Amino acid sequence: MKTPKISIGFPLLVKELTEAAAQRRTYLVRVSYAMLLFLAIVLFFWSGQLTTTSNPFSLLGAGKRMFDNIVELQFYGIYLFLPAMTCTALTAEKERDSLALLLLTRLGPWTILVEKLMSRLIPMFTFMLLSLPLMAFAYSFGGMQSYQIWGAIWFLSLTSLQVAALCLMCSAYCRTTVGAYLSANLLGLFLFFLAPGVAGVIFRSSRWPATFSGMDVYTITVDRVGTALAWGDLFQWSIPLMFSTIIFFCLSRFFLLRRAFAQPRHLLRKIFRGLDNVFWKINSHSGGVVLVGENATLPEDKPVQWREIAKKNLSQFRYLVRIFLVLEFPVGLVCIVALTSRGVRASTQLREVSPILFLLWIISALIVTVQASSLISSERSRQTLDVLLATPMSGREIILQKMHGLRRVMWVLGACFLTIFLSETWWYGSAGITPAATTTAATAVGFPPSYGTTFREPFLYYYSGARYFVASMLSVLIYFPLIAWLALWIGLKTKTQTRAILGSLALLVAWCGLTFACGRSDFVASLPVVGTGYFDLSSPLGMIYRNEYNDFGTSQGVSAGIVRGNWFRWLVVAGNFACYGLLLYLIRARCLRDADRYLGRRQDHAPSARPAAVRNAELQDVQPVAAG
Amino acid sequence: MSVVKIENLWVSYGSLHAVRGISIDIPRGEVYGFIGPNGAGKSTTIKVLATLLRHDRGMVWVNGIDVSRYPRAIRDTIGYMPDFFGVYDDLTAKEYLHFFAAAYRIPQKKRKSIIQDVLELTDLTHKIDSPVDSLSRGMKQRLALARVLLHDPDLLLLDEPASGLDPRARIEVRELLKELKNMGKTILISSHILHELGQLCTRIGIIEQGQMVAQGSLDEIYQQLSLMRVVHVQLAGQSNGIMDHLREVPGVESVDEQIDRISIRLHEDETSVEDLHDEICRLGGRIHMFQPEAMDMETAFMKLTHGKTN
Repeated sequence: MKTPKISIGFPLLVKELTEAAAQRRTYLVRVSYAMLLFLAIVLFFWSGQLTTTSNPFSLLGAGKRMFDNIVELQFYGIYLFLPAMTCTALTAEKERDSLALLLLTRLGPWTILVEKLMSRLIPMFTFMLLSLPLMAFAYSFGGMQSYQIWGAIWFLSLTSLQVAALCLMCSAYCRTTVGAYLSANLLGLFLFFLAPGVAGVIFRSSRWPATFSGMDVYTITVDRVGTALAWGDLFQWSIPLMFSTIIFFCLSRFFLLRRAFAQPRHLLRKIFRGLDNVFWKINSHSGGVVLVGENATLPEDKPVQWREIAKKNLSQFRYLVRIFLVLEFPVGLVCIVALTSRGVRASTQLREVSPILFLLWIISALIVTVQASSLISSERSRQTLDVLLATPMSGREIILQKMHGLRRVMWVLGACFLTIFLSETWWYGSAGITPAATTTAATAVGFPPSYGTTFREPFLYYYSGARYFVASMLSVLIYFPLIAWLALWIGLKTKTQTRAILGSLALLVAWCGLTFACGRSDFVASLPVVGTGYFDLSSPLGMIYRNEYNDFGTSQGVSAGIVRGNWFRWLVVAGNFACYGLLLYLIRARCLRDADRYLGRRQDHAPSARPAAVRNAELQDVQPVAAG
Repeated sequence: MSVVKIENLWVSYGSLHAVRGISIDIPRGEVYGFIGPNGAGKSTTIKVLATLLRHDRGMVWVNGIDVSRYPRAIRDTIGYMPDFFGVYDDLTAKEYLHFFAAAYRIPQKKRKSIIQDVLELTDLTHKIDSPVDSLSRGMKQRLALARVLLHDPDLLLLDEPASGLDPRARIEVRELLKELKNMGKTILISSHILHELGQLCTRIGIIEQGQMVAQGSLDEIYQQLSLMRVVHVQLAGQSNGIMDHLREVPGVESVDEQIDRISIRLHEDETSVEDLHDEICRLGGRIHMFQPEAMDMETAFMKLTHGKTN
């Protein structure tokens, strides 16, 4: 009897790596990673080390700080790039209907998972190797210890494994790549940062916040200690990381088979329909009042708009009311609490509201981006676009009708913003700035009556309620459509819904995040003419941030001011929104002008639908003619 | 006048030439079958006619209107059914048809009766309130046919309408297409099910690697290919030299004696099947069985194509 030959091979890993090597995207991502890393390091080194001293000898030993910067950026790289790379691992197979074929092979579930994991980790490790020249540069300055290098390698590897396992779990559970990506990011944010942070506050422990985040563990155990940590201690600190990785990996195995053939389902729709049932039952028992009766209608003259409004979850009136209430309730609550507690706390700004505002911006930008980028790309993915394009509706009409549904969502989100803007304007504009109120507030906390006025004066000096309100309203009125049209444009140019959503989100994050981070850099601040403030305004986030923190003064606010003089501040606001308004106009005009081409059909060369010459040709039953 | 006229059409996807210089002429009321292996360029040609794809060279007219200049005018006159059925899973059949009736700008007053008519024609009246997503594949195809008929187009462009259907659904679709043919619609239909195209089409075009290898009526194509008819004959008793006489008949290529029959290969353009029958009787043969083998499109297709793709 022949004994079976034992062969060790990694067919899936080989296939994945070969596939990745054949894709242009692999190289684009790698180049982007390298460029971002090197650019960020240059900015760090320039502002942190190289420009702060005139004596070259004082740079000796600065290598440690540089090394820490490099390691920190590598951690950010893992959190940013690895989810985008790993979330496709199993969902791509599901979307291509090839997972079943994979499961039918002799590869076991564990083998599939390990090889999929390796196929994502190997490219990530090659990304990290890109920093070797930078580390060599830092090493030449001295100050680094070998335990730091080993500690960094250990925790970077563990963090990569942990994040990859989490993403693999989400990929095994979700039906689509977009779902896996969003859930991996939200879960990661919650598990690595929010939950340990809350636990740390509750248990008053500094260890808790660092428990699951590799970056924080590295900072505490290696970066700040100053001496080599015993291997036993290092291992002890690593237990939560390893434990969570094993849990994620086991859950991936659990979901792999159970969710292999999961049907796509719309979670939001399910929740809304469940709520509908509850309300109907309540109404049937209580004979309750129906605030909004929505009758089934049929399309009249704008079919696409009708479908967007009558059939999409985020556009139906009763659902919009629910979304509004879900968002407005916490916003309103925070505003009321902040306004009512002002009197005793005597702070200059309504600081509690600002984080809510930024959170609302993040949620709103996410909703608008995902919705807008899916408008056309989802039709393409479902193969319904060609049929629509064969109708006499123009591409411009299709796009405008599509956007109509999204406009409703933007109005609802805008209403929540209005609550915040009105609260802040009211506080600073009337209640907050009256001398009597400030004096009372200062006295209440034990300061002399004059203190309130003195304390508030610098902030209020630069503050203008009208300017704040106008700039805030313009930010909603211009940035929202800008984000929507930009995402729609990307959706028009991409073939799949996944690419459209991820591409739009990546562009938005890169635009706002990078310019904002660069704006904080001393390197940018040191550039002649540009300056921190103007650089900030090169992304929409800059104006939102400066307006919220009244950062228009020369020495007040969050960072160095950008302008002098009240009128000039108005000019900056007007100029900023005029530029973004122009950008919005250009993107919108381009989408509408080239709508047919973007949608994938022929454009009419002549404005008239059917020229007379052609009609005559038909009537006279003559040979075909080239019309026009 | 021709409803479709294509002259020297060239379409490329980057460096790949999907269609290379094909010409087609389809008169009004004709059912034109478009046959070819996968990747031959059938869907590409249909998409050009549906104004969804730009061509590189050549001229394309629909109802005498130049496709490249007035695509919007053409969209009013065509009904396009792609080779897949994209579903709006949130609509019912009624909403789906009303949606496209509005898209085709059919006056609101007429919509209800038109939709009723097309649903009756496609035998879907009982499914009017069913979600599109819940219909069977055959019903979805019929619903798609109902959709393309809403605006009463002159030309129907049907790309693989019977692909993926079970035998019953396929027969239903075929019968529906025959009905449309009787209504005088001009139809351009691509399909892999050659037998059914043979029953339905007045003319066919066979395309391979973007080039038209043959087109015309079925008879014309058989003649073009010099395909011979094989006639199987059983004679009662001994043949008594009849076989030798038959070999002398003009148009008879060969006469093979098999265990239970004689197989005669015949050039029909020289001697028809009926004349052959008379000739055997004249020679004194007592015919027990006379069976001309059906010439099918599969034979023609296999002879004309080599299975190559772009």
